[in-house]
Amino acid sequence: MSNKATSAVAIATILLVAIAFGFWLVSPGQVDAASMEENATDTSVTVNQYVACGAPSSYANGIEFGTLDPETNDNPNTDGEYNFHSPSTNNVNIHYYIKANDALTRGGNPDKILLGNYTWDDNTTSGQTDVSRSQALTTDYVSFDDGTNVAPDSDVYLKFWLDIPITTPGDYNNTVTVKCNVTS
Amino acid sequence: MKKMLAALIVFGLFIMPTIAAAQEQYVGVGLVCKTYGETIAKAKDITVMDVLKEVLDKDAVIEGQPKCVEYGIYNPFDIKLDSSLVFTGDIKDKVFTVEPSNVVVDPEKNMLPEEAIPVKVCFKVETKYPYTPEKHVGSTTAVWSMKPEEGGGSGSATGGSVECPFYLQVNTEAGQKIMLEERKQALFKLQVLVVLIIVVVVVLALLAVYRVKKKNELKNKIINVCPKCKKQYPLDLEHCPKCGSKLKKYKAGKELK
Repeated sequence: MSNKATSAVAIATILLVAIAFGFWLVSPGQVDAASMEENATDTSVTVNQYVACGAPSSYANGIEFGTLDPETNDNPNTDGEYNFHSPSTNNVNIHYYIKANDALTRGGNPDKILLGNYTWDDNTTSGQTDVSRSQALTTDYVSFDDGTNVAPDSDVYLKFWLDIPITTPGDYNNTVTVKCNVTS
Repeated sequence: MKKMLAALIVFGLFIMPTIAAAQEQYVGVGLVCKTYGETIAKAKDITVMDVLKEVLDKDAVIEGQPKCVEYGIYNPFDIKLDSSLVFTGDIKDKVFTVEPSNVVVDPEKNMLPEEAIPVKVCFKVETKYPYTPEKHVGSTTAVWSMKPEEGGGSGSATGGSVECPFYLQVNTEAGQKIMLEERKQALFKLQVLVVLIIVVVVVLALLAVYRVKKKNELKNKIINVCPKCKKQYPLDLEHCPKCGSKLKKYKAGKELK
């Protein structure tokens, strides 16, 4: 066998072995169908994420509209904008959501101001919340419009408006919750 | 008198709002979230590469054995308040028991995440897990709320929460065994790969030695050639059996005298 032929055979052998193993490496192990069904598993990845969101104390004391007349619309909450704060200790950006537990109700009475009358808007700039952009509260969490990717040491501003239909006079109340989690 | 009035106006217009802004206090809690159970590979897809990456499933829950997860609750804000940890989503399924089921923590204010109060929560799957292994998705949420001030008229009580997503994988013991078997298979492939690489290297080395040896042999070999027929004959012959010419002897391409 000539030198050239010997080299060609050697190179071809190496290439064949490499290709065969390339296929073999990426191919899964042989298992029967039954075991395949049972085999989904997770691996562990543990990364600590520091997630916190702070509401102003004025919000924590309750959203108030004061005394309003029936058949008046777009009445703003009396505290103005609430600034929700992402502290500098966060190591991730955060996403805000909002919901109400129920319509506004008058004590144990059946009278209600439906959530369609209770709207909100958020903005990452102070003074930019606008009733024309506002949306009604719902009993399921709804994402903020702008407060979806809030960096540490930043604020989101939130404001509410209430339409008062013709209804029995009295104090109407419910519970509003703002939730935050890690921006996905 | 005028100076005093001016000072009062300046104080009222500029200094008071500044003090008010500086005194803005926040309420809320923080949660140290750990991202558990991100799926990298399903066992049926395990390859040698996965073994090299040391894929382990240590966060899987096996039936009858509790799986404990530690969270941290802290309060980086200005007002002290209670917070409770709640679980939502299908991880709070009938097949799971969560211990403790209701955790209430009252962290101090102005805490750093590193100072978070650890809360250990254990999930236990019923011994006779009735379903095929699957992933359960839910969330762990630290919730806070405050009572509204009295006499505020119409409006809302408020609350807030911080949420961590949660994934929990349940495996049966049979599934675990199959996992181990597949991992063994992958390891076996790795071992065979190493052996074959060694074989290829040895074969190449032998080929190289053979080529050098052959070259040396050719260098030292004496050949007996007919100058007319250009054919090679045994060294003991003196004349060509075909044409009768005198044969010539060569070594390394040179004629021997």
